[in-house]
Amino acid sequence: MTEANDVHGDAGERSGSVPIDGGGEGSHSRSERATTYAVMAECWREPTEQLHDALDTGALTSLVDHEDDVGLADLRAEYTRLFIGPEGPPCPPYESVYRDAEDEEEFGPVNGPATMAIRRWYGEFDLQPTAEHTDLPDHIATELEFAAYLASEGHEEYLNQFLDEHLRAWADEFLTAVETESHRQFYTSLARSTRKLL
Amino acid sequence: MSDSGGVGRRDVLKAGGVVAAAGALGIGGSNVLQTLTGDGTDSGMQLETFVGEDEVVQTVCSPNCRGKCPIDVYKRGGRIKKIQPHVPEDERYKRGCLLGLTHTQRVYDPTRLKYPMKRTDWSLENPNPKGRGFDAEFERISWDKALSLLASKLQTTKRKKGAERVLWHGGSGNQGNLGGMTRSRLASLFGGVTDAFHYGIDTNVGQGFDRVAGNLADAFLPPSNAPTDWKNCETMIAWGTDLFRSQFEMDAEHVLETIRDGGKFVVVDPVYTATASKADLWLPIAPGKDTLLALSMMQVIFEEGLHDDEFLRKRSTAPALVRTDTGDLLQPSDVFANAGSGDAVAMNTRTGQPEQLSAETGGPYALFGTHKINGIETKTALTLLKEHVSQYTPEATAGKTRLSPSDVRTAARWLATRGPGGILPSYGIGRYMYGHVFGQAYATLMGLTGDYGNSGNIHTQHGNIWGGNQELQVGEWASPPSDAPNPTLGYKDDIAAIENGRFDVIYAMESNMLANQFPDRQRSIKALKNVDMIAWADMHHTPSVQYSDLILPVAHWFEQEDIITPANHPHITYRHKVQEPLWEAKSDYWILSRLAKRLGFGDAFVGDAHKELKGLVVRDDRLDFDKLDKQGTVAMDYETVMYEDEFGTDTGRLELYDDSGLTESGPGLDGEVSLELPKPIEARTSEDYEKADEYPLMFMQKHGVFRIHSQYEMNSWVREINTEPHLDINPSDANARNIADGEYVRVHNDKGEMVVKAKYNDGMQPGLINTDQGWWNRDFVKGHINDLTDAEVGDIGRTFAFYDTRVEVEPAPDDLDTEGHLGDDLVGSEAQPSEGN
Repeated sequence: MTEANDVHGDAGERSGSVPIDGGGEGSHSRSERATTYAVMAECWREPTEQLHDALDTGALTSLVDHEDDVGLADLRAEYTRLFIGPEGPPCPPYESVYRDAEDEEEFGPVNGPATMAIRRWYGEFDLQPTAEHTDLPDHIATELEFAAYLASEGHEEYLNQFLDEHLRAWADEFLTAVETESHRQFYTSLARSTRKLL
Repeated sequence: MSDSGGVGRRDVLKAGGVVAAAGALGIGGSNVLQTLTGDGTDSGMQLETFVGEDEVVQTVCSPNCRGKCPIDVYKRGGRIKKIQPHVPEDERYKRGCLLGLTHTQRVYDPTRLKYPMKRTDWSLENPNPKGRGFDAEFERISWDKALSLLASKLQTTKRKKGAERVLWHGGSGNQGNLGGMTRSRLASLFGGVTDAFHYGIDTNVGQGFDRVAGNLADAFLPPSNAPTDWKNCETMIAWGTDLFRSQFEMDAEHVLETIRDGGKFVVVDPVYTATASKADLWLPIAPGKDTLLALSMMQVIFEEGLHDDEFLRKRSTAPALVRTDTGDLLQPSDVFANAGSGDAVAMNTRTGQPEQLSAETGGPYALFGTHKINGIETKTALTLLKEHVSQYTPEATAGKTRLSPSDVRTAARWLATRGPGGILPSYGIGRYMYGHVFGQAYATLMGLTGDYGNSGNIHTQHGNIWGGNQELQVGEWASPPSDAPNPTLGYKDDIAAIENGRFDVIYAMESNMLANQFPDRQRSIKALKNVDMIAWADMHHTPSVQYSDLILPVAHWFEQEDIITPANHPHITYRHKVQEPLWEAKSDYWILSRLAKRLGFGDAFVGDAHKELKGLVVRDDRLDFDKLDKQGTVAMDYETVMYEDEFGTDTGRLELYDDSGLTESGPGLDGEVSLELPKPIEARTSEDYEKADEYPLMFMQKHGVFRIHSQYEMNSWVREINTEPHLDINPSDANARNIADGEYVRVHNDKGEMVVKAKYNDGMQPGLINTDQGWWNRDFVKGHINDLTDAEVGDIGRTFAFYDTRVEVEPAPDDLDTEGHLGDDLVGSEAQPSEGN
């Protein structure tokens, strides 16, 4: 796989035949789809007080499960253990780790060819990570955020191409890892919802 | 998959639900961007070509292997793609190794430390040291918070109890100058204890050598002729070092060239190593008997009259007269009315009169004999040495060394008669308790053969060609005048000091010592419970990092500028920054200079590494910063042949006899042993050692080709072939214990245990087993390599004697759970920790 192919792959030819729950025509408006991706993106970021409040008030029950006795600190501890470290982590939330491995049984590198391709996708739309954002651009949350952007700007075809070339190409393996590793319903259900969305 | 979890596909896409969720999360309006921005600035990522172009950045590999190899890092599209050796200004010193080329894996390792973190159950008010360990949980915090917690604890400790209750611990994990110098500067200004190799690690053999040849080498291995001169060596003795497999590959070509040119290559090693396989003569010595072999070789040289009399008269204390009543050197003041002190006295055979000895002055001095001067009975130093070694004929020592006497004679004859020769030890023998006596012995042996100062003479396996002067000359920058208490501890004293509750705070960097690499690991882990706050700065999640309270993620070497000053090749080198640090990793300089600001010493650091380095280089008259920055490697002047001038001893001569009164009475010895002449003392390798029957096997932990200390443990390319720790064991030892090849075994002694896989190895001599060092906790099925080693040290060597370890081995218990350690099929983050005992 060359990096160049990542940017303008053959996904366009396939876009009509893939299941497109998140990007389909019909019942959902452009802004609703964008909002869905944006909400998912926020759920995959480090839990904030706002997220926990939203869970407590039941505002997210249509998307994710939440145990009442799980506090913000618990959620953050779980997020840290799954996605940050210091040990491991068991589920690195980066595309290249799953797509650029030399051996399927092992994790690949961060900042791999897939990451480069992601940067180019963002660059094609004059987007780049903010100066304050220190995480890698192929983090699941940032890719979902970009999908939200494409949806909100009405780039239907590009959205489908992006999902095919990237999120749909790696998220399944990552989400399975989350479902296997997580001790919290929030993340197992978030993984399930995200898989359905994609 | 079922929808039983309550969240179904239709739910996900239910418009009302999403809108409600968005509202609750504050997501609204048309802008969905949070971490991405299109603020109009050029993203720099516009695609101009599908092929791309390589960008090559010269930088330097920086672990403590002493290679300090300049490398070229190839980037494409902002990503590091490959690494190649960079040919330095003096091309004869081109160098590199395969570990250095694996940094593509290391720099992009998904298990790198990413953000500052705090142990969740630690706080300033309640540090809860018992919460440390492999179950400890951490939470991400900001740099601001991390530095503020650290500064607060440091200030409080200093105000309430004194700055000396802070330990600024540092190792050798990053051989740049800036981090270590910044640690030292801040510790001087703020106060606190620093620690260092002196004494504790690898400071053994060099001390003995220095007693003979002068204080040359800071107790590390002594300066040696440059590798480019080694082709002139006719007999090369690699002593206790597998130099082709450890730490040395980059200079191996100079050894191979010597062999190709017809030089004799002798290897002294208890193990049939890769290096031994290249030898003309391999001496498979029993562990710990190296001094005995050196004494036998000296005996042969005396017996066969092979000593270099001219050298001995002119440059050594061989003719110096020693009082038989006191054992001291006869002083000029004992003989002459107007004599100064310090020099020795010899007998001039032409005049028949005693004469004051000066450095570098030959004369018709008596090398042997008994001489009565002013009524004082004396013998020459060489006579005492000859008498001392006469008991150690190769035949007499063969029972202990297990060497063929004729082989020992051959080695001695080659060294003494074939022209310039040299002895190349490394740090291995210093890992026996009394390795310093071996240093004394081999320095004396090379005096008998008169090789010092000749082209073709070698003194260590790595050409320490600058004699220690390679460091940046920056005056007092790293230790500015300060009223704050700032003592230095040797590593050997760290554990006891922590154990005795001397520290409230430990700031650690460039090290994986305290919970992995130090001997007697369980003891140091236990001692850490006395400390309120441990902050650990590292690139990776080492076992030591796991035992801390505050984790500070450090940038990879490619992500921080520095200047590297090697000992083995003559280049000052610039370590250019290849990329910005990933995540929130920072250089040690960044961390400490920001901490300094919070501690009130902000003015002491520029805060920008490039500018700081420029300011430091200006202090060094030898260097031009712009040239160094632009050219990357700058070849410096050095001496190809060492020891041409006066020795650094009191007499200016090579001192074959030490009358300073030094004695050793460390572990395993029966009372005090005086060391005027090298004596074959041993600790646990001795057949008489009290627990020799209970623990009959000697256990060494070789430095192998896959590690630099404990670095590269996590490297995925390395782990493909270096899957888990093994116990190298001779099949006869294994059979006697019903141990099958490839079976898990329990290695144990009175300190602890480890469980690893046995590997039959005919290259190990019976009675000696080995596991390569540098494994982490998680790699062992049970226990740890350093749960078996002891932190006890001798009086003079004061150096951890890792190899002076006795153990017994047995098949691992049947019910042992061998899953869960980082074995063949588990790599990196998938490993589960294995708790030590």
